[in-house]
Amino acid sequence: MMYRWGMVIDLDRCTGCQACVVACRQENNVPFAGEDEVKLGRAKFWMNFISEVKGSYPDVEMRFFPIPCMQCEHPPCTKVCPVEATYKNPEGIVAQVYPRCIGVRMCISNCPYTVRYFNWHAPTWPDDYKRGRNPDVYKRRKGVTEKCNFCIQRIRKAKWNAKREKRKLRDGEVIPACAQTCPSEAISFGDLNDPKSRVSRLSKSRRAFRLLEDLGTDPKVYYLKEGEWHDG
Amino acid sequence: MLGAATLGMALPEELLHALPKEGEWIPYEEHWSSGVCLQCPSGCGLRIRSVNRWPVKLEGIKDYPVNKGRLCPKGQAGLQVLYDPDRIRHPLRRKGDRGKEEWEKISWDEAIDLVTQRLKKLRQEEKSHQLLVLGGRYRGHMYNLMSRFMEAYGSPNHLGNSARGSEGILKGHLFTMGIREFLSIHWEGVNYLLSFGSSLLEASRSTMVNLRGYGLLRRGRPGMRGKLVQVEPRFSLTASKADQWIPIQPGTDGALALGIAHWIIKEKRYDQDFISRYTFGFEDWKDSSGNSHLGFKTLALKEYSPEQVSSITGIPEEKIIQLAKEFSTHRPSVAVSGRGVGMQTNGVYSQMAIDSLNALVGSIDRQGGLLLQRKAPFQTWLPPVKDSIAEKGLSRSRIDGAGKLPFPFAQEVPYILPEKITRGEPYPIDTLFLYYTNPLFSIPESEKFKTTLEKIPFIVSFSPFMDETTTFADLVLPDGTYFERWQDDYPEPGPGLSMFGLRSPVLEKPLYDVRETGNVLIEITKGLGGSVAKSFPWKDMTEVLRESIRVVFKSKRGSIRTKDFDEFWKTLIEGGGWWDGAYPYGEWRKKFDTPSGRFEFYSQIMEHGLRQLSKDSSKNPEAILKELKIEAKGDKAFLPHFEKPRLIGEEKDYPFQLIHYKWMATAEGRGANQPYLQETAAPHLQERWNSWIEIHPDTAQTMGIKDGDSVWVESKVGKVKTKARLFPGTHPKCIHIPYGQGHRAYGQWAKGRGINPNDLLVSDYDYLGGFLSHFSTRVKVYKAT
Repeated sequence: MMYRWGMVIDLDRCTGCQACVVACRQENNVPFAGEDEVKLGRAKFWMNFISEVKGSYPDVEMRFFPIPCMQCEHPPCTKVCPVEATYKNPEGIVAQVYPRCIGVRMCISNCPYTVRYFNWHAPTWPDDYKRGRNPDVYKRRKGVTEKCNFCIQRIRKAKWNAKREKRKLRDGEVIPACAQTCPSEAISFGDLNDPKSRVSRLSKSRRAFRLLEDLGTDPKVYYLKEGEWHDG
Repeated sequence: MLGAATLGMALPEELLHALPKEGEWIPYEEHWSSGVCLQCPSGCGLRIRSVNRWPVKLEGIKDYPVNKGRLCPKGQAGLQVLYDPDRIRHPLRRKGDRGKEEWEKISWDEAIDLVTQRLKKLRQEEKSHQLLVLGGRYRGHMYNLMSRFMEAYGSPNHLGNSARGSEGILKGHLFTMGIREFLSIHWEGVNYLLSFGSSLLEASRSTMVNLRGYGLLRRGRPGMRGKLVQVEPRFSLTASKADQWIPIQPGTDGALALGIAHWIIKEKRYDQDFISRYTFGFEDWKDSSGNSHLGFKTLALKEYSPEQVSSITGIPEEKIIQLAKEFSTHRPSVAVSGRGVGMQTNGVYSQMAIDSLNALVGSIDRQGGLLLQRKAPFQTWLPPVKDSIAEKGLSRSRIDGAGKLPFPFAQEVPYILPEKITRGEPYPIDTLFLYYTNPLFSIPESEKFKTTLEKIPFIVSFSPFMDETTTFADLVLPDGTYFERWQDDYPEPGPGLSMFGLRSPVLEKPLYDVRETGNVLIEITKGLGGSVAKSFPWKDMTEVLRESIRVVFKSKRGSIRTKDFDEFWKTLIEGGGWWDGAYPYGEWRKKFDTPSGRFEFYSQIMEHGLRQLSKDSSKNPEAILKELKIEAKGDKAFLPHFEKPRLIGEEKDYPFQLIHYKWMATAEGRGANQPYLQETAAPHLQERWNSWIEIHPDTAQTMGIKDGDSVWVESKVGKVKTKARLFPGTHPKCIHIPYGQGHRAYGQWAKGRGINPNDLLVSDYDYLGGFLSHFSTRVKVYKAT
């Protein structure tokens, strides 16, 4: 059976540290935007971090989520691309073909999770940083949209290795940068088609939910809600 | 060091189709090496991925006991330290006025000769004590090396505490347990965690142990989800992730701890076995002369009932009882503290009270309790050779007066240096070394410190970066980054068990013409000759490390066991570290280094110290306590108790207490030169690349301040202009400012961004502990027009 990649983020473990955010950018050659571009909302965070504060002192509450692309089974973004620059690949990843993208940004406005990012400028780095770029990821140019692809380069590499050894991928063998670094082990990644995989089991947890599920997008990113302490 | 390389295939620059065809992939050489992160004091094991020899990604070492394969955001941003375009690239000599950043490039030979000749002359004039070393983030044996240098050279003026700002915690541990280190939490076993303002998820010791531990507490153990209670005036990130947040009147944590102790004692819920076998001063007692003394039990029962404590802390009585009940029944339970507790004028006593809670439930050096970081069995060095000049220099009193009134228990008092040096008391300082420390940024009232620097004729900085203090140097001898040097690293604290890591150069040679400070120091000793050179028989830092580590190899224990030392060394370089198999629980008799050999509710270290002081200074103990601004009298002064925190500034003029805080990305103040960290979001406000003050929305409304307005914050010593953010987690009587921004130098991404709360702080002290109370300053806020 084909792989169907999915992710589970346990909000009970998540500490809001944003190691995932930084690891993703270093892995995927996403340059920093700088203060001015951030203010214009142009910073690219394939792994985004959103938060909400409610209440008044001393009854205050804060919730936050790390938000990668949901890799929807029914992605609203692919449908509106006039040139088929974005599509759902056979393993369920919503991929972006940069050379095909003409920058109309319909996909961006049609994504209910706002996890697609546009290159308003050609990506730039200070010269010294250029040595630290990952050779495994596609280069982007000005005017194309980019997004989280579950570190597709890591999946590809793992598959090459498995193929060389004439076997299927093992559970936990492919780890996106965000999941690999997460200090509190809040992020799990794996094959949803494998009923024994960690993500399959966790996605069926009583705590599991998905974002904006009623839109029918059928995301492959699951969240596990926070628990409560019982005086027992 | 390079491991075996493997081949990878890179994508071509321009792609016309989704995937390259065969033959279009560009082959590259990939290898993985190991190192140790230095973005905070955690010291996490690093796996470094290099492509065509250039590091491109950092991961954690899978089995490394501190981080178990994981890294925090600071760790992940580490390559922006290596590749920072604003790094210092070669030795520099000052050309223009100090602080003007006009430099000329000089050679290493010339630079080292300049320092050596200066130091030589100072020794010839028998003024070796006029060399002052300010050190900060020493790791591994680097501290020992610098201390040894100072001893052989002959100066008592080494200020090398790497935990400035957290001295209160250390002093509390010292007085109750005779322990001079931080303790860590045994997350695998803890069931109930009572945190007195510890920034567990933002900036704590150790960052990674605690982040990882939080995951364990929540979901690491099937069927067991531990409780976290956060006591803190401000609604922090940790408070938001806690099961319960207890807002508290700032500076009253000690009182709350004593209130909890009161209930536990009254209800006899304490660990009677631990109390009777391993503690001292719980019950009333008689000394050898037959005098009766007050026990902790009597004091807590008499003065800290929930009712009394409620009026001090502002916490309802029933909540105090609830905490006491839960803390004593859901064991293993642990009470920990953070900066807030120690940054008050009553920091030491508060910490002693919190330590006492752990003694009451017997959670020290136990499963699910607090761990005492064990040291690796390194070789101890032979003492340095000291000639008569060195002996004479070392016999001089310290420039900062540490160990004397009014700071009898301080090992160092960097905050007092401006006063002392400016007045030339007790003697002038001729030469200053700066090693991984930046007082012009990190110490309050930096303007005073600047004046101080002007009084020092010769300043040498070893910093890899042009930080604020380095701009005032006469000579810069740049160190490399943590990817470019040989250095060992042991956690202080980490996972408890004995361990160390090893940094080795990732690149064949450093990116620029920089040198490891350890090697430079050794070279200086050779130039100085005589007994100083004799004290440093090593060729370079690698030799120092090999010699110190050889004994670990000989111990034949832990994670690396080989036939010969060369193989051990090779395995160590490749694997990044060595660690012991298990943590030895329950070594109370060995670890409690107090006169009684027990946990002391009644601190005999403090009592003996004051008695000695009284003898030396011919002042009576009462007068000394008064000089230390302690209100308690008699036995109570040696027991955990509540002292009212002192604040600077009248409430009518300065209505708010300024409490600054740390959050993950800028926690160190050192991360401000890394764009990836600047660009992560302050979780509660989604602010990036900036700083601000937090005001309670109701308070702001009465002052006509709207979210985002520009405001002035003013204290008795300074004022800063910044952006106001209305945050409902703000204590109504406080103003909060994140720490870490407001650099005046430190590269293009740090400079001129946000504000530094240190510019507002007025110096007051916890004299007993000998440290500055950062949270004692009152401020006013008004709209900027």
